[in-house]
Amino acid sequence: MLFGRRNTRDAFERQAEKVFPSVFGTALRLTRSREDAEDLAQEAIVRAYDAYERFDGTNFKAWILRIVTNLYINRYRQRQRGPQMGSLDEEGVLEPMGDETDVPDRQLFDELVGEEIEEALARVPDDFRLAVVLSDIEGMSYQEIADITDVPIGTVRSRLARGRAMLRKQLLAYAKREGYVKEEDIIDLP
Amino acid sequence: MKDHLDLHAFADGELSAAERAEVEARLKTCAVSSKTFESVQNLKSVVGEKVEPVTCLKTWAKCTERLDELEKRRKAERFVSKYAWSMCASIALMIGFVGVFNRAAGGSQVATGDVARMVAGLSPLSQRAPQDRSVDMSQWLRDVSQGAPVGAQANALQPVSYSQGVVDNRFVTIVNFQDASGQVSLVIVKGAERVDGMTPQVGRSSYNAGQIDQMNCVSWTERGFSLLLVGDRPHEELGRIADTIRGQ
Repeated sequence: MLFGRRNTRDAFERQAEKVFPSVFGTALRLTRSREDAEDLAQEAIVRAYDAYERFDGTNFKAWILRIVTNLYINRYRQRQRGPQMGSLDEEGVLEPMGDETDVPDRQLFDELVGEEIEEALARVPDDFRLAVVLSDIEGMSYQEIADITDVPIGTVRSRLARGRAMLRKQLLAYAKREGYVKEEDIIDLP
Repeated sequence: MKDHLDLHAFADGELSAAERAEVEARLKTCAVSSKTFESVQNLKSVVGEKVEPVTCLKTWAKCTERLDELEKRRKAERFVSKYAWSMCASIALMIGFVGVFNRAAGGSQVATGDVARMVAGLSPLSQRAPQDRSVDMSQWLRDVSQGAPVGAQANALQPVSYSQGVVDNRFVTIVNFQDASGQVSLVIVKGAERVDGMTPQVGRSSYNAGQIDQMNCVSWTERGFSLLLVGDRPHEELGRIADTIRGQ
């Protein structure tokens, strides 16, 4: 029995340690505060270990990221400052991406560094930011994101498209401010 | 195509073969779709390439510490839930044993706190002491206390009232005396051979001194009785009165 528990702990730690950068990274990008992210990630690990016996064994990373997301929604979201859902309606019509300039995006964002992208991402409202983080940083599939965030796949697709459009606008504004993009290249910068 | 969602799904590899074929065909003919798709792909690659992995070794170490704490708590809970009945039984047995032991070992002693309770408990039963000077007060005192060793010179004090009864299975007598300086009370406890919470009186080794209810008190034990003289007077004076009561 004792060895059984020891094995459970070892198995959990092996899996959790492997996905912990994703756990902490998602927590950090959700809370936008290192202190809160540490707290959230630790709490998620403890909760996950507590519930490990109920884990179905199929997708540990998605399972633990769902715990992170739920914890964030229940505990931190209320006191987070900064952009939330904003005025954007999830069902509203979104302009196609890539209309603002004739210069290819690759060239536009070439000068940007990771920190600047993180800052731009932090300005995207929660639900859209989470979809972009899970898809483009954590590499999760639509089905996994739907499971993690507990919404239908259609909502995931919608949030992802809007989140990317918002992120691109933030990056474009940032590139303009920093002089990475010439004024004459920009046709209709929001 | 509403919001170009299919283009995002195409870039993410989330379309079926038929849907993929449909999007590929449109990309060849629609410039807006083509530019949007290119933009999605570029954004994905910019985010994927430039966002740096987080450093979290210290946080992971804290997590394992939290897991250790959780394990310890679980272990304690398992132990308690497994042995709860036996622990309760052990504690009950221990309480019983200590009670029996206290009864056996402490039966012949009385604490100063108990004396205060005894005095308070007997007060409502107070009776008048005989006022007739011709009565042998020493004999009367021995009679009311069921044979307490009190001496012949007790006549020098004037008893005012007395109470008697059984408290904690002990026969207790309280006699209130009056003299020119006021009242003193003599508490006689039958069957108690020691009074706890008192210290030997300086200069009078036969008495112990202490306080009961913020009043000075001297006590002594003799022939199976504990006697306490309580009054608002110095210990020295109480000792002298006690000498008188004892006939010394």
